[in-house]
Amino acid sequence: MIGKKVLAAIFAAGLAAGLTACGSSGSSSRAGESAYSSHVLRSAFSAGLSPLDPDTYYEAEGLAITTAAYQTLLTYQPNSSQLEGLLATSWSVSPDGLTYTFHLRPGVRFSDGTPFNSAAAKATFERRIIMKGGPSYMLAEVSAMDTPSPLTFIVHLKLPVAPFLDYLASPYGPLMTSPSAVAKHAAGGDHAAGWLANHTAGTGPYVLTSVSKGVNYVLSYSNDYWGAKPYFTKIVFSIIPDFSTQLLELENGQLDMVLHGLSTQEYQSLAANSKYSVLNPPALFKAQVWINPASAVFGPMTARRGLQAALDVKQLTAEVFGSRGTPSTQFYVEGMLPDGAVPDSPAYQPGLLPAAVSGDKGKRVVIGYYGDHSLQQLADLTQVILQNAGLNAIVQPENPAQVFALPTTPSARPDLLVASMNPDAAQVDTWSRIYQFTNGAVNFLGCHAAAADRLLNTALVNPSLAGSHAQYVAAGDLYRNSLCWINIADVRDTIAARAGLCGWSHELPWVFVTEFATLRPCTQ
Amino acid sequence: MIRLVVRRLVSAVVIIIVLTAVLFVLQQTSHTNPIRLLVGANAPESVVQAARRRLGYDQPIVVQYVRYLRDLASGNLGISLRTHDTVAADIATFLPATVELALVGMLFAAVLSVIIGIGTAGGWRGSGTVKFVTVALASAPPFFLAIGGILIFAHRLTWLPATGQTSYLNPPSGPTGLLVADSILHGEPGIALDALRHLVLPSFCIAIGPAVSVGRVLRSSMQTSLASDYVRTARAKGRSEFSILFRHALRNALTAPLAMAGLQVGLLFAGDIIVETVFAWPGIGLYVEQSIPSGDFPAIAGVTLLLGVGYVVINTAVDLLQVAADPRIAIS
Repeated sequence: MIGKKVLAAIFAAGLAAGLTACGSSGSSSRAGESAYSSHVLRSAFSAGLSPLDPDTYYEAEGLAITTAAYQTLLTYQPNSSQLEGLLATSWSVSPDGLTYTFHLRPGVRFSDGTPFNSAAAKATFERRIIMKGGPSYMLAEVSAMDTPSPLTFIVHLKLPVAPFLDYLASPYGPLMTSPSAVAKHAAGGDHAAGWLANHTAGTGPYVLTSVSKGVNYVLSYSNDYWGAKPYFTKIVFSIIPDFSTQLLELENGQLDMVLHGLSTQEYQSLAANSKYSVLNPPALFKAQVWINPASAVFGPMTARRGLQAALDVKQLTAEVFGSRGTPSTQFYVEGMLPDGAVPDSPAYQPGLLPAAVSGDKGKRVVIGYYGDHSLQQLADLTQVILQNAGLNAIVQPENPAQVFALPTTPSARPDLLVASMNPDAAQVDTWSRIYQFTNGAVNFLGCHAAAADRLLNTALVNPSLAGSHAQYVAAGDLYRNSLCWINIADVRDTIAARAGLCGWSHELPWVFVTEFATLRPCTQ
Repeated sequence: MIRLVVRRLVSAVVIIIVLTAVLFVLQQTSHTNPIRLLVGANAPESVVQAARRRLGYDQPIVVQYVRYLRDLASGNLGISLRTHDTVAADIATFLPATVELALVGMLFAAVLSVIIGIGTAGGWRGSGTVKFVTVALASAPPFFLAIGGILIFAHRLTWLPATGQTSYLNPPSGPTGLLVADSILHGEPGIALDALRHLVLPSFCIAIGPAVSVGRVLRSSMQTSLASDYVRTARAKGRSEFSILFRHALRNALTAPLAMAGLQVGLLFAGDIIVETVFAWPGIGLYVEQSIPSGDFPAIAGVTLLLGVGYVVINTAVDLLQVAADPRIAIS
């Protein structure tokens, strides 16, 4: 009897809690109530962001914030490597490649109301150099800057830098920042780094209005924006680490957009559903199999050639990336140089590998992979190919901290590494200098081609665009022939969204982001 | 009792020293380069080296360790390589959400373990079914339970929210850091109810494992107690069943379940990391889960120490509760 009463009390309490739980309370500030008609766009990040200081922030996911709040002098035409003006309306380069003159856009204001002019551009460049963050390398050769008029900005270089204009269009390039905001919020000689970690002061259409650590980031329309007012006046990025949960929230209608991280199968499933759109804008990702030159099996060129021939690029691309990738046909990332400049289309000859590694039967080969489900799948398929060739292949994941240690820790390097990397800009030097150059910052497995490096160095300081391109092509040929990197696919950026959005725009170097300011419901 | 507390305090210090030593060794042998990750792939080597010097990573490991312990003694847990804030500040930000989740989780666990333990021992109707269901759920891995919960209650039935602590963009903060309590204190019952809705799924997921473990031990202890002479005597005296269960049998049966509850706290926090990740719960589980891939040693070490010390403190509290429940323990 007593037991029944106790149970009844507990269940009554549970029921009350359940009713309480299921009852919803209305409020206009609820993040989950937004729809396209409400001018609020909801998306997600997989992790909290590092400090968003425009001169030190150097990660992919936060580009959704920095590209919406800040702008560069130049930009790329949508889905192209062609440069065009953004905050600079035109520019000229001296014949010796040492002086760049920019004519700035009039009538532009920062989000704090400060006018944008040449002094602000100079202050931005100076701050970039002073802060000595990761992206500061882009201005390493700047020797002086002049501001002859409020709308003319002149930059002098110590040496010609072939990718200099591309640096200025890179999403990690100098992001124009209000000098007034920097001066106002500087504390203890930090050049406002503390304030800029959680605030923005750019000329972009949005301003960061709220950062709730571990919870969300909120962008709001900047009233001082010089361009057309965007349809979405508020963008909320919730932090949802698990991509499966992000997918469920998209399907629940709690998110409007998933910026990255789903599997190819999940994207295909969404694309087949009329309630969703899956966008695949071109990006600068190249999926590759990297080779450790110290590998007992793949050190010799015959084995590398055998491996390259055993990888059916078309089949692997279709299976792993679906519509998100195209089989690689050139050494450099698609869009950097004209098609066919450095062709790379080896014939599929599966019989070569078993013959090339016949003396290594049963030897252990470690295949590391760095990236999402697709890269894991590519590593798994590579494993099968190696197993069939008689090798004892195993697959192991590499997390970010591990993979970035590989260049300086040869003993930790796997025999092969499957990864899909991207450069800072749509220019060859920004790709090869870090990934292929001898002792390059992220030449993960240490494979290199010294003759190609020399050509790369020559091309870097060549003031002639045509001459520089020819040298980059020659360098690409040598890097390709080294068989240090086996190209698989050019991989696109992929964004899944609820159906009904128009105005999509994307730039080649952007990852995990779209142009939010141009998005609108298709009914508008 | 004072000796017990002192002994546990000493053990907490030993645990801190051992944990930090183990973490330092692991950090050295893990072949990670958090500094490169910190400054970015393209950063020149000079920038990398400057960051290494600034953060003391250029020093020998022993020097780093001694300095870490010295800083720790003054309450300085270092600076997170990922957030660039002090680890202490980060923990202060993320801990309240975890505490709130753990408190509700423990409440769930207590209710369920009572139903499983006392209900089945006392032969309550329906308690067997509850036991069967909870054991079945507890046998599932936490991530499976979490995803399943979202699929059923958030995705299919849309009864409960799937992620986060609240649907409100600007919920009240302070003074407690616990959203439900703060919302009530700020006169925002709507937000409090919304926060409670968000708590249901994640707290149930972390509660189910400990609830079953404690419930089963409680059931066994209760069965022993209910078969004892003093319970027979109480029944002969005509005491009510409620009085027999809760005043006589339960108090004597509590020692073993309390010990188990203390041990289960560790399991609860282990499950908490997975559950916070799946439910996007902004607690220290989420914080440390995001710190691991970045090799953010100060953050990982800070949270590990916090959990280690928390484990000792909770188990000390459990010991004291056991003494209160059964004074014979103190005598022995």
